[in-house]
Amino acid sequence: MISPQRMSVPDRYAAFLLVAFVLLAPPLHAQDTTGSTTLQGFVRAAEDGRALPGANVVLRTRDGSIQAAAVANAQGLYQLSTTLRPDRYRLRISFVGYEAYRDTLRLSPDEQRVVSVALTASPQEMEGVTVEGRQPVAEAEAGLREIRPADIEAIPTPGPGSDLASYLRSLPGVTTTGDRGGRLYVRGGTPSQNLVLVDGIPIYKPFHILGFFSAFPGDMVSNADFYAGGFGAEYMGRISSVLDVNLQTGNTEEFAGSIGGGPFLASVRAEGPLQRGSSSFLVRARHSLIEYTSGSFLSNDTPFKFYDVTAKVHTQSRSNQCSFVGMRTYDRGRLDPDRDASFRWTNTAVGGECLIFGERTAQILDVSFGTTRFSNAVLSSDGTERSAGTWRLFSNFDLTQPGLWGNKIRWTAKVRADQYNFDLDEIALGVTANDQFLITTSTHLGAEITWGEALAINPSIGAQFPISYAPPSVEPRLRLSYRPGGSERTSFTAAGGLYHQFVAGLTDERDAGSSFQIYEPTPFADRPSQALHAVMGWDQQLGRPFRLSVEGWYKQLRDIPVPRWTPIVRFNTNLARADGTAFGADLSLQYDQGPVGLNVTYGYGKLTYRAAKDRLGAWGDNELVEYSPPYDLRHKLGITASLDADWGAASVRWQYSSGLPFTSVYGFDTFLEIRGRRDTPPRNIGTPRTLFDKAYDSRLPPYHRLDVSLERDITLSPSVDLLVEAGTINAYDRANIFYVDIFTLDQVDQLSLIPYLSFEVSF
Amino acid sequence: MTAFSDCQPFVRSVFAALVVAAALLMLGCKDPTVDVLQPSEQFQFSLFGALDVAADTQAIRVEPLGDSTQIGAPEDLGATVFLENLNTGKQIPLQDSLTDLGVQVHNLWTTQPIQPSTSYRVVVQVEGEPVTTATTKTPARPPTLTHTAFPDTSLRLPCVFPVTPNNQRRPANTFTVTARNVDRIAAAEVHYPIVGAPPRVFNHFEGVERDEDLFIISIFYRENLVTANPNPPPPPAPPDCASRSDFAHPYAEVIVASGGPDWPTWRGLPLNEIARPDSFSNVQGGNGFVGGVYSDTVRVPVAERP
Repeated sequence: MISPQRMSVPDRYAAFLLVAFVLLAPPLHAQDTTGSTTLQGFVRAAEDGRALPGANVVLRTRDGSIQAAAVANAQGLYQLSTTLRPDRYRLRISFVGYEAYRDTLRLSPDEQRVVSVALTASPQEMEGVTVEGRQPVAEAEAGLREIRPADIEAIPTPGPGSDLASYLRSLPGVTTTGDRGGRLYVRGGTPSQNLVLVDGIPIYKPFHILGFFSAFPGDMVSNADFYAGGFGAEYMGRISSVLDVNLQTGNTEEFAGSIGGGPFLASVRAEGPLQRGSSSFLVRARHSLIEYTSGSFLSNDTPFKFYDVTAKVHTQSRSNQCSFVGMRTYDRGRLDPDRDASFRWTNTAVGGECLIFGERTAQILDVSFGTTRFSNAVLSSDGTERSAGTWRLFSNFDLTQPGLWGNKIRWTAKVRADQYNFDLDEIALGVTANDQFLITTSTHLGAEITWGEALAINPSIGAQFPISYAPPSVEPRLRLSYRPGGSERTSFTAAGGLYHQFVAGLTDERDAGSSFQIYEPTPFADRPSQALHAVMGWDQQLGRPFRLSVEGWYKQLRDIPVPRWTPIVRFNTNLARADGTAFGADLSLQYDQGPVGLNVTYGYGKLTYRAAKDRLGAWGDNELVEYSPPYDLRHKLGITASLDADWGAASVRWQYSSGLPFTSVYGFDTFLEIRGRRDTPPRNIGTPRTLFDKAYDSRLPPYHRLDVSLERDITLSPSVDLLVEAGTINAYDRANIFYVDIFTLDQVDQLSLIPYLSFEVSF
Repeated sequence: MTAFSDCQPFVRSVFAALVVAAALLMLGCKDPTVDVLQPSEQFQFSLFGALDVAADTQAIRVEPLGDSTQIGAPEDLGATVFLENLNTGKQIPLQDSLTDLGVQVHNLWTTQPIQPSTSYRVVVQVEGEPVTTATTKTPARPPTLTHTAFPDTSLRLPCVFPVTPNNQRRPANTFTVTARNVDRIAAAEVHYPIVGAPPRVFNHFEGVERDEDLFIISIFYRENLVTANPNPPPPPAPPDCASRSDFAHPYAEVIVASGGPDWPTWRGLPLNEIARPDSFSNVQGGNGFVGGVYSDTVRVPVAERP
């Protein structure tokens, strides 16, 4: 037996959680004795069969008091479990903009019943959809941003249509090193520490080379959960953030489509029923045009090409649904138009997900499987090529069942096989080619525990088992929210936990002009990357139109693989371990009143890495090197104003970011290897060296930009609409610095003023 | 739908402020610039070279650090350089030679003799003031080199053909030289006088092994002579060594240098480690390394393999 004194803090936490789960989870065979009644089903829209995530489900007694309540999840699925007496109960299922469903049910203890409904749109309620469609205070969760289509549409994006990437880049805790390259840093984490899921399928780099765009156009997103930290143990394998995107399903009732174009891209979308009412298809494709069109209206050279294609087939019934998704993205371009290095990356993913439950059981089974592949390469002018990729095959089982007193228990089991490879066809420091294969299993157990309407606690614990590679990891996590007196206007939230990652992302952090990324199992298998998260939030509705959100966050990072430093101008695959501390606060003030929306966000963050000088291969006087990596963004301010008027819609967004760190150089020379007299002055040039000064001790100038957009919807016929968008990116033509090429000392700017006019015809 | 004019004054004020702020930024903001190169007063030049007591010419590479020429140097070095004998105080001016090795480099040279067991300082002066210096001491004596012409330690041609691609019959294609009366080996090089091949020195420093007071230099010559072969067999025939008839003289030259007392122990370290500007540098006011060596040469006869 383990003595409590000898148990580590995570072990003690894990033991506590296990005891809690045992107490809370009724054995499957014992359900008949609990008296627990379960109602479950899907909430969908009648006109197109799509899920209505966020729909409210309330069961009341005959005297009107609330017996139980639930909210439909991302798939439109709700589950409501309660202990009740045999009687009649009133069920109400509602969603803003739709006529509520009402029914009176005669329910008895131990009953499991499926009630799936299709809500009909209510035209007189639609006005408020855009405003109230956003996440209400009562549903606020620490570290989590529930993104709905209305949120994405509010951010000016060169059309046609909106894009999730533009929205994410507007968030205070999200940093980018420029408006190209497709890399997002979240609250001190790196892109390789982010988990991106599309209908449960991981995608490694879904962001396009031009920062406005991703594989997620706004009209393809049903909803997305973006965790900037503190996520539960149902998400394993990454230590920074999670973006969990649920794609829109096709229309199950009628055929529809759209076609659009603008200076940046062209798009086409088609959807419709395969079997009316029960299955549908949806296909969306976009292809960039900027490479061909920019010459006519831009002063910049924009050598960028990208496309994305997404197809989804969906079937549904009252007690199950399955979807199959295929996605392909492609990006190619030169981040510095004056340099010849051409970057290229692709994502290919195929997978399926089924959600199954029945009349006689209270369990919900979610099964997903699939494969995903990422590859990227950079081709230099001298003909050398670096290439790297990773390929994954995975299968997940996710079981949810009611626990005692209306609580829920959730258990997952996952298996994945990953192959990693890279090949550097050039002289590099460290290993120049590698090919590895890794099988990992993971499991998680979680609970949703509520005490009345005031307190909700989600403890969870997960474990990862990298087979024959590294010792297993145990990762306890906790999320909770407290609404004083069950208030709809005030909520306090908190989240935290322990996170481990066995995969290292290797990139040349000192070259902002590079987007090349190697994935490989961490070379420090006995000490995988570790993060400890703590997030605390406060959401307050201030009068009717104002909402204030404040969130503080802290991350302690350990054993983060970073490239060993070198003065030699070569790609470097040697890694060292660094520890780090990141903390900050996000503040958001929203105003929503009638046609006007205003959102002011401010984020502060500070990230510091620490490593022993020898381990890092650094130079200087101090044995412990402390530095802020190039994505340490201190201040980020964003102001977005939108107006929805009779003549159309307008939105204005101004953003400001303080300068990012960079390392200045005090000189250049050519290193002659006097050892063994390999190099002698008369015979050899030597090896070029860049002599860096103190690490990341300088900062770029601040970044700011104003984007403006106008749009108007014109009805061409009862079934054909034309959406026209006009706008300007970087309206006052600020020459924001992307980076300075230390080899040519040329300054590479971000995008200059870009006007655009786009259209989309939908039918 | 509510009209914009019905909105609260606060919102109208915010919109107005946004418009004003944008206008101000548009009119008043200067586009930013940034200086990545920030030359240092502390580190002004890099110096690389070895003063060889046995050589008739000494050359030191001198490169200004803070100029914007990343590889190579500007035409004007902007400095004078001299070599000072610290035992006698004698100063020897070094001649600047702008050498084109694909890029321009400054090699500072002199034909003045270098004395054994003597301390020297290379001094770079800018406007009469010394800004960068490197101090070193030459070895007292050269290594005593021996080549023992045992059958299995001689240079014998033709090379033995490899049995498999990974087994190149290393012992049969290897000769050995030994060095005595030396504290540390600074270099071990081989020159094969091949007719029709560009002059080239093959480095064998990493192959030096120490056995108490004896240094053993095993030279796997097959690899060198495949590279130096002026008439390589056409593919798909496997690569082969230069033949004995390709030699201008019937011997190879092995040059071994002993290092001075401050010669670093940097064998086996990766290039990245020794290239760090703060490692293995004896340069004040800059980066690099200037050492003192004393070399000697032994001839190894090329024998016909029976």
